[in-house]
Amino acid sequence: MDLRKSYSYFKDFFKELLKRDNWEFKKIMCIVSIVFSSLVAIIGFASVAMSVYIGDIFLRFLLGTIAILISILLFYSYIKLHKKKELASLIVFVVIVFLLAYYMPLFPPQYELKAYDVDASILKFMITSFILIIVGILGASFSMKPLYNFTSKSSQASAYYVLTVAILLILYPLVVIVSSIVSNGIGGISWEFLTQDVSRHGSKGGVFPAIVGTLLLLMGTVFIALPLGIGSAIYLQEYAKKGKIVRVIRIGVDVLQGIPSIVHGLFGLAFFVPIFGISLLSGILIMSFLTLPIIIRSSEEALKSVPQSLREGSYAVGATRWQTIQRVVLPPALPGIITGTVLGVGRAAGETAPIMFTAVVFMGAGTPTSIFDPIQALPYHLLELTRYIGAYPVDQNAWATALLLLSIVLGMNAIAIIIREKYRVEF
Amino acid sequence: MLLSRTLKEELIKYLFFCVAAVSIFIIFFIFFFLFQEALPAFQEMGWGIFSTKWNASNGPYGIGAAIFGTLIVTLGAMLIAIPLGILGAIFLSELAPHRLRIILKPIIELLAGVPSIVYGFIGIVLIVRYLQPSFDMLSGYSFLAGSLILGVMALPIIISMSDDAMKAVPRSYKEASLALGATKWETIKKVTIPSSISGISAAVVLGIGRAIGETMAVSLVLGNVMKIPLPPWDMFETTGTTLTSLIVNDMGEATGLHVNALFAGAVILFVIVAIMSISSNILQERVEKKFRGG
Amino acid sequence: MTSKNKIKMDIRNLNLWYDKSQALYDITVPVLENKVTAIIGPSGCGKSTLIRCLNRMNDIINKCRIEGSVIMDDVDIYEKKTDVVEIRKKVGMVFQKPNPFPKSIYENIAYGCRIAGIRNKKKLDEIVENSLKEAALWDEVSDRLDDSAMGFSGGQQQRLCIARALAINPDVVLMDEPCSALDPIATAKIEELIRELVKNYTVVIVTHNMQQAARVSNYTAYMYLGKLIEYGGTKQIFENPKEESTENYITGRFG
Ligand SMILES: Nc1ncnc2c1ncn2[C@@H]1O[C@H](COP(=O)(O)OP(=O)(O)OP(=O)(O)O)[C@@H](O)[C@H]1O
Ligand SMILES: [Mg+2]
Repeated sequence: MDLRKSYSYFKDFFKELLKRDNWEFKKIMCIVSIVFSSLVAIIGFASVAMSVYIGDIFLRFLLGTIAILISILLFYSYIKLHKKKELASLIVFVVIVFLLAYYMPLFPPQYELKAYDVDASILKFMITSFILIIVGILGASFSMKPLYNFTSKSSQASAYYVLTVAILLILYPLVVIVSSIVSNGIGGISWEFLTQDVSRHGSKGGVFPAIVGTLLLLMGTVFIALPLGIGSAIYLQEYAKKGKIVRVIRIGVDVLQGIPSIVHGLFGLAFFVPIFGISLLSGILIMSFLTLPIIIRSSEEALKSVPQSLREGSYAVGATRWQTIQRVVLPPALPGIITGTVLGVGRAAGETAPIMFTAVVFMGAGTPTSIFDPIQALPYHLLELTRYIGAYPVDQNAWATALLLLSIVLGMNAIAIIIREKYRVEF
Repeated sequence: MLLSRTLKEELIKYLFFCVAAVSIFIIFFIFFFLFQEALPAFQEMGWGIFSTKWNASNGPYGIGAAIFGTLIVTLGAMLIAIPLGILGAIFLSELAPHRLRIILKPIIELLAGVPSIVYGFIGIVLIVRYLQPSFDMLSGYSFLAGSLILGVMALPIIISMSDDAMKAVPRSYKEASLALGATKWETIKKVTIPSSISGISAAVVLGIGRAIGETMAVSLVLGNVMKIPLPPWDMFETTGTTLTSLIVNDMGEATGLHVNALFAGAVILFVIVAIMSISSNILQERVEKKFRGG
Repeated sequence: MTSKNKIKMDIRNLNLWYDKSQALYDITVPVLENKVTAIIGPSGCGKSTLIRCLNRMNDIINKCRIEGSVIMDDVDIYEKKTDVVEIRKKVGMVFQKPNPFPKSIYENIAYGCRIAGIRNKKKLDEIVENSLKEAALWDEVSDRLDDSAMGFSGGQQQRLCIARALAINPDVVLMDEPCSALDPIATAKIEELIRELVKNYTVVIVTHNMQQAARVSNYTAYMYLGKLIEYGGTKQIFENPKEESTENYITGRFG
């Protein structure tokens, strides 16, 4: 259904195109040129992604055609004299593209950077495909100008084109990452994988102890961080006098939230491990400290978003402060608080650095019997498998672990977002 | 009746006070502990801590190379993430039709949650393997790989926060501009972006902070040698490390002053990140003030 | 002053500071039982501040300092040992903008009763019905009691807030510009309501609308720059003001 909706966005765009008076030559040319330039940009993009050079003739053909198309457009579109700048930039563009079309195939197959003491070279496909991308995008946005008769609407169209390209560029790596993890990992997920212990450096067996360990870790974290976090937020937001001290505390919370997780790991290694050893408990404590500021901050935001007038309404009928918090402030703030908590715990679920020297082992933890036992955890398992890639045949299990971890973490985030959107109270 | 109720209220208040006190104690204890552990390194090494002379087994422990690596990787990441992120945010908040937006926005927010180890894994199996032949490098492990991954990782934060900033611009501002005959794009350029610039900067600053602190994804694709590459702009160099990678690689077996040096690295990270998040906050407060008044 | 009426609340030498700036200067004014007292004056003169003093709503504002006393039923509500919660149960308040809780109509009104410890469902039903009737809202919402209050019109929401205030059976009802967000018809309804209410309650109303003050109130206090300039019977204030400033304001010759 959503697909259909985004489809209607494009439909509107084409409707708009079709509506403009009748189809004259200039307009057909414009659209041909836009489509062709976009195609060139896509070809350039594909050739970067696949590391292939498209070949001299094809390159000349693509660039040459763009240059010719735009020159025709230039010729046919009436450019008023006061648009001199536009005219000049179009002419310069066409000339440059012609030059590129002639010279680029003559480039050597690679530029060695050895002369600069760098062990790498810039290959021809890199240069040519980047040029193709740039020329394609510029060409398309230039071709839009005659379509709107060089009014301010034409620069709007060009800008929109660039923005659309940008969002596609953004989505590309994200789509590649997710789709490759799903397609490579799905085959490795089996009943054995989910229920067996690690064996042969992770190339056989499964991740059951790691799942158990991660779950225990999260449960412990929620158990400690949730009451501390919500309680602190309630105190800071509802009881504390808004003064300098609260400001300093809030800055402290913010800074702690931004601290790299490896610093938490270092802290835990130096402070908790000497006391509790490499254990579930150390891991829980570190993860609690890591999620605490996230929970405090998001709970505070949620409490703050409850309008003061509601509190006043409650006080005005004789409610005490606690009754007001309990009955008026907390209910609408709850979705926000839960969202923040789930996000925080989701982050903890995916973290490796804080636990790698403080709580986890790669194999042999099984199901821990006390909080002083070490555990296995999914993120750490993935780290070890990543290190073994090439040395042992772990690829299949690594992809599967990545998929499992990704689905757990993204699943939690998705729940958080759904809660936020669904139970959002509008005031 | 009166007394018991007041007593109950007071008790509840104290309970919350104690809880808050524990959290605050934890927070400031972490800060204190970091500085305390880093102190010997600063005392022993003086300014030498910033030098590039590093010997893991018996000193000196100058972490200059790691600081350099952090800066260069972050710089590279931001060259990718800032322009793309801002353009993406403009698309999302101003251009995307509502139906597209309500699909894209949660997707992008979701991606902010992808664990860094997953990015690290992807870095090894996709990026490093791609870069090596594509640039004819010795191995794909390089600052370039780190920058690419970090850039992609920072994108969701920057987009999502900048989008919020642009969405927060009151509709009346935009309507005023459109009513004067400006196109939508002119309105974006002249009204929406200028009035949300603090929020966008806050997003960028926060994105940089996150990139600087990122560990697993980066350390996996770097060579992790404490050396500044020559020439310094060499993004292809296979030896390279960052502060976070240094800590994660050494903390398992460090002893004595070496540990303190790692804590010194952590403190430097801490200070950078603190400056980033405080300035991001200040920027954001400015936004709030601006629109509350208007 | 007309002394045959009983004084319900007596404001004596009240001074109030927000942080360092003084917002009320030495206010002394009575509030008579079963009468409507209107507070008028130009924007920012401290009307809201004053009316919020009557149920200690200013307590929840940071850095707000109050001197002086407000005597209600022989007790100073600002005395240390007075329980602010008890005060607020006796002095209900309706705010400028309707602020219903995001709950159902029923829950909104039952809220105060539940706070006060009334659990009996039958009793609650009865109170809800009565207060909605008192607030002249019953006929419009009797079949929608379980709908969220957020979906009702501004005027309905405001009457709901009045009903909510009445549900805990206060002695005094404070209204801070209750009609400023409403259209003339809703305003007329509320004015009519106020005239009804005053039979059982004492009402204090802040208003910007001169005609409204003239229509609904028995007594009027005129304030300017945090000071009480004049107080008297509404008729006297409007027809025969003693102070020039009052006259200027009432006749609209005010800058
Ligand atoms: N929470 C506060 N903090 C600081 N100053 C305040 C606060 N509330 C009100 N003031 C100041 O106190 C003075 C009186 O404000 P008040 O709200 O009582 O005016 P008002 O007569 O109700 O005005 P209006 O008719 O516009 O509602 C004003 O100068 C205002 O700026
Ligand atoms: Mg007011």
